[in-house]
Amino acid sequence: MIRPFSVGDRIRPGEYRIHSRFPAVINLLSGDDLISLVTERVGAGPINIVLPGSELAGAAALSARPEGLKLDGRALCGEPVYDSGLPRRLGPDRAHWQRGIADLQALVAGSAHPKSLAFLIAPRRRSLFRCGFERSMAERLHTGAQAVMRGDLESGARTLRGTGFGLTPSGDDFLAGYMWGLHARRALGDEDPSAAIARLCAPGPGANPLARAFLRCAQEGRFFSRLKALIEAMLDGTPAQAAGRARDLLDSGETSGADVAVGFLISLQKEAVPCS
Amino acid sequence: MFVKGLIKTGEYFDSVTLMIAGRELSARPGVSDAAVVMGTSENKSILSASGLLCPEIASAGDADLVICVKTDQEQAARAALAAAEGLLKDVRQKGRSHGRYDPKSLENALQVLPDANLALISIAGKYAGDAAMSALRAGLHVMLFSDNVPLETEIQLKTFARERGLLVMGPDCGTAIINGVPLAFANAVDRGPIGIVAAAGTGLQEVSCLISNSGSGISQAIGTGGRDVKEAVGGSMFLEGIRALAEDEATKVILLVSKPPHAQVLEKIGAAVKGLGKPVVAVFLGADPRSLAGHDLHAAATLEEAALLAAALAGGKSADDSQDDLRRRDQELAGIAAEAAVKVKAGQKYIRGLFSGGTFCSEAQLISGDLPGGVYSNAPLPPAQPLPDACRSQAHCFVDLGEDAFTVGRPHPMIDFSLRNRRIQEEANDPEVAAILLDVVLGYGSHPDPAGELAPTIAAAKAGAEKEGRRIIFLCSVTGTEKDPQIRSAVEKRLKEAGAMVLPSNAAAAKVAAGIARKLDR
Repeated sequence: MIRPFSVGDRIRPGEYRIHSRFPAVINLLSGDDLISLVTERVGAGPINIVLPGSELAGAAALSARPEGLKLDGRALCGEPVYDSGLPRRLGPDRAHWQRGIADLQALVAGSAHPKSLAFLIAPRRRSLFRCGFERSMAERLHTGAQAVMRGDLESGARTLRGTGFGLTPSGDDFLAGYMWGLHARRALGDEDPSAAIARLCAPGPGANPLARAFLRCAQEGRFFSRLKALIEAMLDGTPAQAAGRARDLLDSGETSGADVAVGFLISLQKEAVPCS
Repeated sequence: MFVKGLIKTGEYFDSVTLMIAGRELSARPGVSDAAVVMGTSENKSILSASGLLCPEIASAGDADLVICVKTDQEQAARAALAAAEGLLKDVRQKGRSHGRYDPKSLENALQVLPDANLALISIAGKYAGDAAMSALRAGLHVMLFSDNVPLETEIQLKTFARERGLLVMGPDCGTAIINGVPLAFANAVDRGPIGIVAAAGTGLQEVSCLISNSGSGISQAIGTGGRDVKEAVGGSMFLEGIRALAEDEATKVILLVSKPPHAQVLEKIGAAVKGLGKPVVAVFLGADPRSLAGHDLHAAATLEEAALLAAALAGGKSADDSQDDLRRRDQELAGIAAEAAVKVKAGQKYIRGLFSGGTFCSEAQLISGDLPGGVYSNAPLPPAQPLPDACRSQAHCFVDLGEDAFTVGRPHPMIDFSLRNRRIQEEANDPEVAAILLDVVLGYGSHPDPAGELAPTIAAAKAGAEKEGRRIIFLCSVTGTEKDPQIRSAVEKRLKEAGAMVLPSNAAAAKVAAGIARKLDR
C-alpha cells in the first residue's frame, strides 16, 4: 500500500504507462490523458499525484479505475484529493490585489530565468537571447504575445503554441498562464472568460501530450498548487507571503514557472505591461 | 555553410538542458549556430528563419528532439552532431546535485525514514525552536546545531523533552556521537565502554579522540550546548544525559566535560552521580577543586587527564595508576620545554596561543596560570586579563579565533584558516615572541586539509624569523584519529616537516608552552 500526499481532482480513468522521467517528475500517458507523479516539492495539481520520493523512484505504470488507483500493482490509499478549483471571491481588496500584481511583476522582471519570457515585461532582458536561433525564437514569442495583447487571440495562440525549448514550450506555458489569469479575473468578479478562452484554444490541440494536458487544465480553470497558493497570498496574505509564493512559482521547472507567471501577469494587467 | 541535423526519438530533457547544450554546441570550433529543441512545427519554422532547417529533421514530430548545427565545414557539422549526445548527458548530469530524494519537511523525512529517532536541526536560530519542537512532538531526540536560539525557547524545549524521556542536545551543540555515528563536528572514534556528556564541543572532540587513540572507545557522546549548565537551564539535559548513560549497558565509565557548572547545577550533578554504580570522571575546566570535593566523582584538571583517567578506569586500572603515568609524562614535557627554551634568542619571551576551539583556549589559560609579564585573552579565565584589542596580542596571549569578533561574516577558523594564518605571520614577526601554540582539529566538518593550510605558513614564519636571527617554536596539538578523513598521522607528519613540534594533546602543548615561558623568564 502506498500513501500519497495528494491526488489531483482531474485524474481520468485509464491504464497509464511511462512517457518521460525526470528527477522529481514522472509523466505517465494513457491515450490523450496524462498523469504526473511528482515529489512534494513539485507540489499538487489537477493531474498530479504527489508521492514520497522513495515511491517515485521506480514507478512505471499506473492504473486509474473507479475502484481506485494502483501504482505498479500497489494500491494508493488514504489519499487526500487536491481541489484545483479557484473559489469565487466577491469584494476582494483591489488595492491589495494590485500591489500583489506589481510585486509579482517586479519579481519576474528581476529574478526570472534569463531564457524565460520575462523579456516580455522587461524588454532589456531580450538581449539575453544571443545566438541566432534564440533571437529568432524570442522574436516569434514576442510576436505571438503582442497579438494576444491586442486581442488577436487566435493568431497569437497559433504563433505561441509549441514555440520554445523543452517538453512544455515557453509559448504553451505563456498561454496557460494567460488563461489562468482570465479565470482568476473571473473569480474576482470580472467578465466571463469563456469566449476569450475558446478563441485561444481555437487552433486545436497540439501533438505534444504534456503541453496538451497542461493547456487543458488551464482551459478548464484547474490550477496547480503553486499558482493557486500565489493567488491566495496575493488576496489575503502579507506582501512577504505573496513574495514567497511567487518565488515558489518561479522555481517551477526551469523556465516554466516564469513563463506561466508572465502570461498570468499580462492577462491580469495587460495595459500596464510593456510588451511592445 | 553546412547545415546538418538529427532527430532523437523518445528522449526528453528539461528546457535549460536543451538551451545549454545548444549554446555549448554553438561554441564548438567551426560552428556558427546550433539549436537543440523539440521538433514542433513552430520550432521548425524558427529553425527555418534561423537558417538551421535541414532535410534530416523534416519528419520530426512534437515529441521528437531535434539537433541542428550550422558550420563552415561539413566535417565540423558531423563532429558537432556526434558530440551532441554526450553533451546532453553531461549537461543534465551537471544540473543534478544528486539522484536521491531530499525531503522538504519533517513529515516527509519520517515517511522516507520511518525508523529515525533523532533529528539534527541546523537552521537559523529564530526558526530552530519551532523545528525542534516539531521533532520532539514526533517523538524524536533532537540535536540542535543552531545557535542564537532564545533562552526561553531552550528551556521550553528541554522541559517538553524531559517530560517525554527525550534528549535535546543544544542549542549550539556542535558535536555528538550517537550509536557510533559522528554528528556534525565530530571524529571517527572507536566504539567502547566510555560514555560522555559534554557542554563543550571541542572538549568533547578532544576527550573522545584521546580515549580512542589510547586504545579504549566511546559508547555514546552526548552534547548539551554550553548554556545547559547555567542556572537558567539548570543542567536539564546534562542530567538527562547522565541518566541515559547510567541506563546504557554498553557504558561502563561516564565522563563529564564542561566549563564550571552553576553551583546549583553542580549540586544536581553531584546528586545524579551518587551511587550510580559506574565510575564518573569530571573535567569542569576552571572549576574550584573545592566545589567538586565530596561528590562521588573523579575530578580532572585537564581534558587529557580526564580522558586518560576514564580510559584507565574502563581498562580496570586505578585512578592512581593513571595519575602516575601522567606525572611521568609531564616530567618528559618539562624536559622538552627546557630543551626548547635554550634555542630562542635573548629577548624572545612570550607565548601566543591561536585557537580554533574555545575550550582549548580556556584549557591553555588554566594550565599556564599566571605567567611572568601577564596573560591576556579575548576569552579570559582568571588570572588572565581581557585583551584590549582582540586583533593585537600583548605579553602572553591566548586568542580564541572562534569568538564572534572573528567569525561574524566569515567561516569558523576550523574551516577557514586564512585569518589564523595571517595572525601566525603577525605573531612570528613580533621579536618578543618565543612560541606559538596552535590547535588543529580534524574530523567531519573540519577543513579537509588543515596541514596543507598550516604547514606552509609555519615554514614561512619560521624562515622569516630565522632571517632575523630568531627562532620561533611552534607547538601544535592535533585533535583527531587515524580514521578521520584527514588521517591524524598524515597531518602530524606534515606539521613536523614544516618545523612544528606536535604534542599528544592540547594540554600537553600548553604545558610545554608554559614551561618555555617560565624558563625564559629566568
